[in-house]
Amino acid sequence: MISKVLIIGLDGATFDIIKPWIEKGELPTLKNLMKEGVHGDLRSTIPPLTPPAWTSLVTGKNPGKHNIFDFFKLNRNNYDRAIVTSLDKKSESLWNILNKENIKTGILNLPFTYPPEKINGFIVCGSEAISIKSDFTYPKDLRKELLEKIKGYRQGLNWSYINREDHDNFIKDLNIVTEKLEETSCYLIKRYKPGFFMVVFDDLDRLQHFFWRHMDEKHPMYDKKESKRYKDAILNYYKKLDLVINNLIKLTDKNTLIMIVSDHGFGPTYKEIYINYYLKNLNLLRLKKEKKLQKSLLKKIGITKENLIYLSNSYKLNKLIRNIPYKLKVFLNSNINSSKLNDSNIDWSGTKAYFFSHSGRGIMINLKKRQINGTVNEGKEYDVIRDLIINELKKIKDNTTGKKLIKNISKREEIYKGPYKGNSPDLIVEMEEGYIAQEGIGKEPIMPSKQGSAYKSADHRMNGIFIAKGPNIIKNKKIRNANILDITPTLLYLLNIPIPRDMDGRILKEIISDYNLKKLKYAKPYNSEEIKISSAVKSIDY
Amino acid sequence: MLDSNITTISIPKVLADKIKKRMEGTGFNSVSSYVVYILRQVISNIEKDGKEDNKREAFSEKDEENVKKRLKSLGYL
Repeated sequence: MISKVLIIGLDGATFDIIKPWIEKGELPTLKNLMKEGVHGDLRSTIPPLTPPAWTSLVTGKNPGKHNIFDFFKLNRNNYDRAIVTSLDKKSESLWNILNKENIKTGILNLPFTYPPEKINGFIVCGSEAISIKSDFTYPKDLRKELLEKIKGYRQGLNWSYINREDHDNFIKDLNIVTEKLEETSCYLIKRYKPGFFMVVFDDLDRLQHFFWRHMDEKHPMYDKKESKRYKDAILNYYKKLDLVINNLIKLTDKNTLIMIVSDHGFGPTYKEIYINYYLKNLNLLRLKKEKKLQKSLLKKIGITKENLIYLSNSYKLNKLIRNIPYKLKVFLNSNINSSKLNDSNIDWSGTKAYFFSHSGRGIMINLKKRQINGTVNEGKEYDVIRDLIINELKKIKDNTTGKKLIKNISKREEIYKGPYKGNSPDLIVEMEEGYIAQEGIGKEPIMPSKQGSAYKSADHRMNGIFIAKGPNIIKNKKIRNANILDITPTLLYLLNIPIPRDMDGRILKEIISDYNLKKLKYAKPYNSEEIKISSAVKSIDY
Repeated sequence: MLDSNITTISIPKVLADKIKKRMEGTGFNSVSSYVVYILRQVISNIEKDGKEDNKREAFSEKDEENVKKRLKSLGYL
């Protein structure tokens, strides 16, 4: 009988690197968990991205039903993108269902929970709350308590170390933030004893984005000297997380169900592709006249941020740019015209389609009914343009290897089902491994990986991780075909709670030692109006 | 003459009987007036909550800029 649930999220964790390290004996806690329970890849959402993926994990639903597709959403008043928050989520989450069964829930540092909602238990938001001065907790008073009890409380990394490429301080900061998150987890578990507790260590994702190149000799950003110092940075952090997991497990008993999950996998990116370059060549995207574009003197003589980055692939130039003082870098960053697209360099009246966001990997059609300066009619014209883009982009090949670049390009209705699928980009691009779709036009359509000022060398992949151990969980078994949508329905079944019929995931029967169809109970689908009615009745002021 | 501002809605008989029982000794003189009163109260509260939700914003303009800066550091902007 399961008495409690502990879910530990490792943002971006992948068995591709965990397994070889386990074999070498580097990660004993994860090794034991896998031996005493089940494990397997956990297929992410399309695209494999933090906002839709974590939200699908805790709702059991595809983004078409919960409405979180990306960090950004379309701003209908202009072509800027608006930031997505928890207020955009249109589905109940696992904790709402558990609360109805009187199970107290505690959520710590789970992405896309800010602003925090009212629950039976607590929600403590992470770095998306921006500042510890904001109301980043529910209940509100918990904020004050945490700041008092956890000395030097931290809400996320100091971003300036990434911008400065100050590797040593970045690692130091990462370790401090992780220790504080561990301390906060222990404090909250001991103090509030929630029946369900979930914490996400999200900075693993950042570390892998920026440090992958140091352990990959094939990477275009690999630097032998730097690698000597930082090649074990990712391994060392996994080892630290292994210890943290061990410490959190010490707070549980034998009747606790433990799950280790990640929202997506990770892998190196060697080349970036400029989708807008191709859309421009197809006459679907038009830039304003060059005269208007070339405002800055630097741009006039051919210097753009992308050019500098492109040139800096030569080791000496690379080193030179790295050594530019931070303040000068900030100045250049803001003063050198980027060829990235924005309102000022796209001629929207001549544009039918554009790459909406690097993170969401989506192409948006410039629809008359939707965008402020839309040019495309709904219906036949929309369909023809989408088919044209799919056919043309699928043909693209990397000239140096002859291999195709795009694994798949799908219409949104082929991926998403549900009332909010219309809020997704119109087409979703899935790149082949090693390539990443980038915003901007690009000097060339395909360039070596070196994304803007952030210097990322790796990005998300489809297979995250799943490990589970506890009562009724089979021991020492590897499973296949687990999907991020399956976590919530599986948990509900294990806790003997009816599963809402509108969930898209399945019960992972293969992990359960005594799976019994008779125990399976369903609940009616989530109905937001019913919730509103019952909350309105409760709040009628007599 | 039928009042064009009024429409008929069916409710289960058991529910109507329950309402009749509750109405006894109160100021309500018909099941219809009782049901209309409840619905008005509930709908007005749902609309009030909805207006408050729409006013709720996650970030101030300054905070939103900070979120964008963070996403830029991550290479997402």
